[in-house]
Amino acid sequence: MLHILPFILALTVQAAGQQTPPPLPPAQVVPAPVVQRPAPPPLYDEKADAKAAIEAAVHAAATDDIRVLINWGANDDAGSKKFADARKAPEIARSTPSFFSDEYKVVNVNVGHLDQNMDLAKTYGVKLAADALPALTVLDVTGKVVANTAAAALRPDGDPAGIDAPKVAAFLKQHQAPAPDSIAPFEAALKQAKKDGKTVFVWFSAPW
Amino acid sequence: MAKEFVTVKLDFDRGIGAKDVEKRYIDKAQGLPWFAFLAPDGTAIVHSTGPKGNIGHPNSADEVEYFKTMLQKAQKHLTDADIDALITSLNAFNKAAGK
Repeated sequence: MLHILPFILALTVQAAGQQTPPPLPPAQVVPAPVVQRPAPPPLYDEKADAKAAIEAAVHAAATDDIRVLINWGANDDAGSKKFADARKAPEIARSTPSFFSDEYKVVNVNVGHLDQNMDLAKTYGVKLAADALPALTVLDVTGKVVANTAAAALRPDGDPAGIDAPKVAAFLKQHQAPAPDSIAPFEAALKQAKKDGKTVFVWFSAPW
Repeated sequence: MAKEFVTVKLDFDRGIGAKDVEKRYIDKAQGLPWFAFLAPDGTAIVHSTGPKGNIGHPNSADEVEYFKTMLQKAQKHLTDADIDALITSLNAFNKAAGK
């Protein structure tokens, strides 16, 4: 009871004075603080060692038994920007498993104004042209080229400059790694363990 | 680890037959990663679902402790010192990874 005594006393004093409380000051609008977010890094790292990045992606893809997607483009190229937008389309962004994280290790290689990494592109059989960016290359886990395509093959019907998300999704689906067999390697591990007098450590995981 | 184990990694989502292999050892689907130590005849010695659930990648002290008991159950070639060294290595990895 004692803890509510000050509250009761305050009410009593106010009632005895019967004074109209002073008007409240006008509400002040406090502007929300402006949060300065750093600009996202450009998609195509102009200082990257593209050859090393591709090699690292092949190594990582081999670990997960998936494939590598090389995206040859440039930060100031309209087609490359449209490709980046197409990646946000439902056909691609909501694919399960995700093309861009589960099915492929992606390497974005800067080709500038067709004056960067051109020799590297040639080694993968990529023919680059200013009006045909981006170009896409799919590699298997050994680094061998599985497929090449360019923006011209990914255009929406009747649009000479766009990138069609369903066509990109179809390309990625067509060339993603086939589902690996689990039974044969499992049986092989049991056989090897029997031969070596060891134990099998079976590990279930997923690329994601 | 190679002293004791033949390791096989199966892609649970995409691997053909992977879910069937897991079902041989546990009824209810577990989170990933999930793993088991098996005798060469395919029977389970122990698996990663402990008293508190699947330890996955062992991070917490409880999970690391359970992983240690798993190693001890499978122990044929590893010495106690080997197991201690593995656990020390795992703890160092977890610490470096901020886990």
